[in-house]
Amino acid sequence: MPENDTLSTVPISLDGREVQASPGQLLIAAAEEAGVYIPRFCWHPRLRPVAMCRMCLVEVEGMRGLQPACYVPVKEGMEVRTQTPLVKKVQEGVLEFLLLNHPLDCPVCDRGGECPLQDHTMSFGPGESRFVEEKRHFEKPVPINNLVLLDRERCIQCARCTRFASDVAGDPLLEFASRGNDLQVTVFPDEPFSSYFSGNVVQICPVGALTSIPYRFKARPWDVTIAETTCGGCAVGCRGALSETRNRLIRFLGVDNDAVSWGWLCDKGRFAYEYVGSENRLTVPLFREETAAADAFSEVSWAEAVERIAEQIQEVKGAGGNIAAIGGARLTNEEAYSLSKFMRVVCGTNDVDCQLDDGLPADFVAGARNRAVINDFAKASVIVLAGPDLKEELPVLYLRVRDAVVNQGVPLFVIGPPQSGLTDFAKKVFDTPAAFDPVLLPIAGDVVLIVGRQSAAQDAEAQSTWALGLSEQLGERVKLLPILRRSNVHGAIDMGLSPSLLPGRVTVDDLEARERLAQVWEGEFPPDPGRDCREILDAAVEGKIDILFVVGADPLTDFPDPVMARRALERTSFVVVLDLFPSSATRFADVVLPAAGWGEVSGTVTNLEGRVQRVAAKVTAPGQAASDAQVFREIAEHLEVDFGCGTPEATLREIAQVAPAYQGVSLSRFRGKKGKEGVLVGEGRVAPRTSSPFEKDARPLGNGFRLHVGRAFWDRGTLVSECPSLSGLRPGPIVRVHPEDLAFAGITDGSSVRVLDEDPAGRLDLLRTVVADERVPLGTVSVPHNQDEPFVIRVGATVTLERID
Amino acid sequence: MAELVLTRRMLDRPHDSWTLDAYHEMEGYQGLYRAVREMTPEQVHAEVKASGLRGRGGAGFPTGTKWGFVPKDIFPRYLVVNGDEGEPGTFKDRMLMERDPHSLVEGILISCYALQSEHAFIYIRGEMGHAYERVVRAVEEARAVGYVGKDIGGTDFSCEITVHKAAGAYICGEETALLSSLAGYRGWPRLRPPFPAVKGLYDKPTVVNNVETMCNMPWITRRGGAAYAEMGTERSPGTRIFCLSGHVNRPGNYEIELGTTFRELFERWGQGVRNGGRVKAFVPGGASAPWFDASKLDVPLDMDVLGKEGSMLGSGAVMVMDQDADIPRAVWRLVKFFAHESCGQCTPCREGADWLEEILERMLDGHGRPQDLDLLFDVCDNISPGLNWPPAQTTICPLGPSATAPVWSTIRLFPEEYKRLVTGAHTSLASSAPAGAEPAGVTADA
Repeated sequence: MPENDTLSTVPISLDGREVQASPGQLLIAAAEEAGVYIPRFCWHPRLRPVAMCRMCLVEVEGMRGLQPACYVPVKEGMEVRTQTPLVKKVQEGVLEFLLLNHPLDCPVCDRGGECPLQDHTMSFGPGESRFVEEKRHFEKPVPINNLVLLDRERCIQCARCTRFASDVAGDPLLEFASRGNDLQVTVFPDEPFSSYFSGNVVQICPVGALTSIPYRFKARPWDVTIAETTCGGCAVGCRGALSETRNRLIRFLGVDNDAVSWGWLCDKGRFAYEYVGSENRLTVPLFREETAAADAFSEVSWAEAVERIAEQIQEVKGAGGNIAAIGGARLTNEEAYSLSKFMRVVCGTNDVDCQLDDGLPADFVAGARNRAVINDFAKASVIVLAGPDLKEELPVLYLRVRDAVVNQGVPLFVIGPPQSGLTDFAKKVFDTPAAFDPVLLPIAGDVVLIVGRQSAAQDAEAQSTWALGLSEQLGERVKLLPILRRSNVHGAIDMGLSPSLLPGRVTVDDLEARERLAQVWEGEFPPDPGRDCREILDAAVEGKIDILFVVGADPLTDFPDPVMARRALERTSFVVVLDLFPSSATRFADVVLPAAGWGEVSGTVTNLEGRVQRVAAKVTAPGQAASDAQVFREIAEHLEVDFGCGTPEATLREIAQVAPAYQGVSLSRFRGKKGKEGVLVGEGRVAPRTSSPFEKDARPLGNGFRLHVGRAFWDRGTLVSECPSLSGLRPGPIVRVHPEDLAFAGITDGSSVRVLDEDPAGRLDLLRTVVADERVPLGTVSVPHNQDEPFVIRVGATVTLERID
Repeated sequence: MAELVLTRRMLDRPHDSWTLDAYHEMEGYQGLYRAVREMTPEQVHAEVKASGLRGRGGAGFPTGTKWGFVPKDIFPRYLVVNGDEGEPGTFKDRMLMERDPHSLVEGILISCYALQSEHAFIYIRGEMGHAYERVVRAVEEARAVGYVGKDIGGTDFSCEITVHKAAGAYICGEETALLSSLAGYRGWPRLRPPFPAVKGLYDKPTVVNNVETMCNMPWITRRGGAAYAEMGTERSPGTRIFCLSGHVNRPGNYEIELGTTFRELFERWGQGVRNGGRVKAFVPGGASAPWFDASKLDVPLDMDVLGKEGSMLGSGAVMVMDQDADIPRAVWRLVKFFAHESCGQCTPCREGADWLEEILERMLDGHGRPQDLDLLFDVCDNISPGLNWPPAQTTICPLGPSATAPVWSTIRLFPEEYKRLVTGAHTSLASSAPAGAEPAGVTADA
């Protein structure tokens, strides 16, 4: 529910006591704020009220009969009675009714111990049942998809899950069937509840009717400890609560916050905790054995690893060689800051980049003025989305945009990608930014402009240039939201993991910032921008990089040219990889260091709005895995640099001290009610560069198809592949093409095709299964990224399709 | 006896009353022409108000007043005619649709003119295939001669009628459930406000009226509201069709003036109780109504009087039971109906109606316990607190309380019949003869 904007409150009488409430607010919420809990099952603050369970009936003076508190809005002067004998009798009656057919198998139910039905029965129930007849029976439990089981015997028919599916997720695949006493929740025949948000129905189920397969029978509520944290799955930064038992993460639940996620999580965010406990984690530092064959590593101690790296740095620096780092989007702000400081102070270079040439220009991301936050969506006069398919890449952001558009009626323009979760709700869809005409925008009111990279084959600089041009044209009305995908990539850019930026959204040549840094950082680093990821790898291919740190990144998968990335790593004399898992990059490493990751490291992260939120450590990292920050500090101290940053808390204090946009960010600001919403960082002092804009006619010449490469929700990334419950869910190697294009090319849906770059230098040559999708614009071939072996993506590529018989 | 408003044509022309030709010969569509050519919509509305006509669907709300709830300036607006007659013992709308569909069509057109609605929907119960065909045919005939469609009667009034065949759920006779069902959604009653008059079909202002209500409109327009109001009683004017069933010698549909007593209905029209017996109990207004015993035989058929007596005239279904009727068994059968037809939305009705059925079934099966009478009362009370009529309810719509009314009203009237079930003196459900247990079968063509 959108928050009522009005600040004025009116008096109402609640059980004879005068309290203040917002007019229009639902009685059940107003009462709760005033300290009176009215029992409920079907009502959920983020769902449309239906008043079905009848548990919240109260008496309202002047209104006939009992009124559902979840449906009646507050009016000035209304007299509400929640504790009368009639209300209590009805509450007991409803609970007795609900329990008639409930199996009471609490001892074997996942919900037992944290079950609203149990709790309400204890607080409001009649104590015993008078039911001696036979209970209703259903087959139990039945899967509704790969992650969720449905036990209809336990169901109390509150319609929370069905409302979530249709109203919130927009996947109306859960419905009621039959009626009366046979009323049951069901999926459609041969149509599972295929939603990226299916885990939410488990969380909002007020009984144990919906249980998650990954968590099922793993623990009892009294055996777990819980910590609130921020999801690391993508850059949205959903809040959640992490459950741990015996030093294993076993569950992640959404936590409601008004600013970002409203308590929702996507299934990847919800279930990806499994990877943290994967057996494939790196647990000891590894060194390549010089004599042995490739891939032969030997285990070494941390002390030895640190010493060897330090020596190498000393040697390279002495010889005037080059050190560079790519990656860092996985890190917390504090770790990213440590890496940023380490590269500048210890290695004396600006050759750092947390993006793998697959995002947006960092100066655009850090330098955007007049920024939008997620809560601006519903208030905007229009939303313009020029970016990726939010449903696939930033799922909960998709939910928030969808809510603004579908439930609040904000018009939406979508500019690319070919097929998106939001195109169905858009007022109009444009293939390319060049095709969009600002004349279509309403003449007044805020324009929220969400800008991301539509496709890995799209020119990112042209995209940001277009966005800046549109912003300039519309002036102050535009609220800009640059969006990147990887977990803490926005925080990493803010911490200076970009060749042109220093911590705090300032450029490397910003004199004031450099002065301030000089007081804290001991060490020299150049005032000119360093190399970005592509330039680093280019230089590496030419043998010009002597030490390359690859931090929580896999350029062989994510860099658009995996062939070049591989050559770059092969030709770099000393490659240090810090990661959680062996990857294709670790195969080319000289040193592999086991890192501690999400759930194991505390600190802060910054989401795509620039909202700083805390992450919590709930389990200890496996084996000898350690925080990246600790690694950089130890190497620095081995080189006799007084690095500081001994703890995340100390690092955050230093960030607040030296990073302009992070001034005033401190742990104390995360406490209390307001702190739940995180802390928004200030605007930067970065003037985004512009380049040549898109060509007006973006359609490729010749017979080729325009290549679109977007991310799919389920891919081969660590978050998915290292989770037993998720690894089977990816769609696999497919390409999507408009059915008319397929018909014209004489290719049948579901057959095998070869996708070839028209430019032989492009080296793209893929074998894929073709899927007809009418949402893909004509003349486009859409290839989901990271479903199979990586392939070369050329910006602006045009491709041909060949049928394989 | 006042003249027959609703059933005259089917009595006069038993073999073709449903055809346009026959209808034309019996003043057919004169009311419509009078309305659209000689009256303003406001004047038609005023006549309906003056007639005092009260809705014939069950609630008995004054029709003219209901029309007045439609916001003045919101268009389009719809008239939806409720032909989802499903209340056990009720079979009058089916007869009207089968035998006199043109009076329904004419009534709809007149009402649409008064409401300034250009589209009406007739929602017909799925089981009534014959009625559906007759109504579809009538609409087609009326369209062919220009009563339905553009510029009716040479005026600028246009009106379309869509006939919808429902899928046979009793709950869809509840007006908001009907609107949901008609719009393609699950047939569940909606929360009010908003009321249908403000936000109904497709979220537009909508008036929902019963078939019989509509069939009165041609007469009222032709003869005037004042003439209509002269029939019947002051607060319940006009005539009504009563569906008389059960243990009478001549069950059937009877159009009689309101104000007649039940005794007269049973003796004059029903030709007395079968086999010379006596009335033990009767249901005065459809399966949802609390029952009466013989002491209420001289109560007049008047909506307000029945309300004061603790029941209702409802849909006009009167079911008579003689001295041999097994009251708990008959009640069980009605409760079984309501449990089966509960939509399942609200907990008390979904769970409670079924539980009532199971308790009664267990008692009838010879497993009654002394505490079961209190239990029945209390379960009813948890669905309909206070056990009064008109009922308080813990549910969204009145189906829940309806399921309780036969139970608590008969336990109060005939406690000994229930006590017999808890002392073990009763034969089992399986072995006892079903004869007489249910209201006797009656046909609409009686």
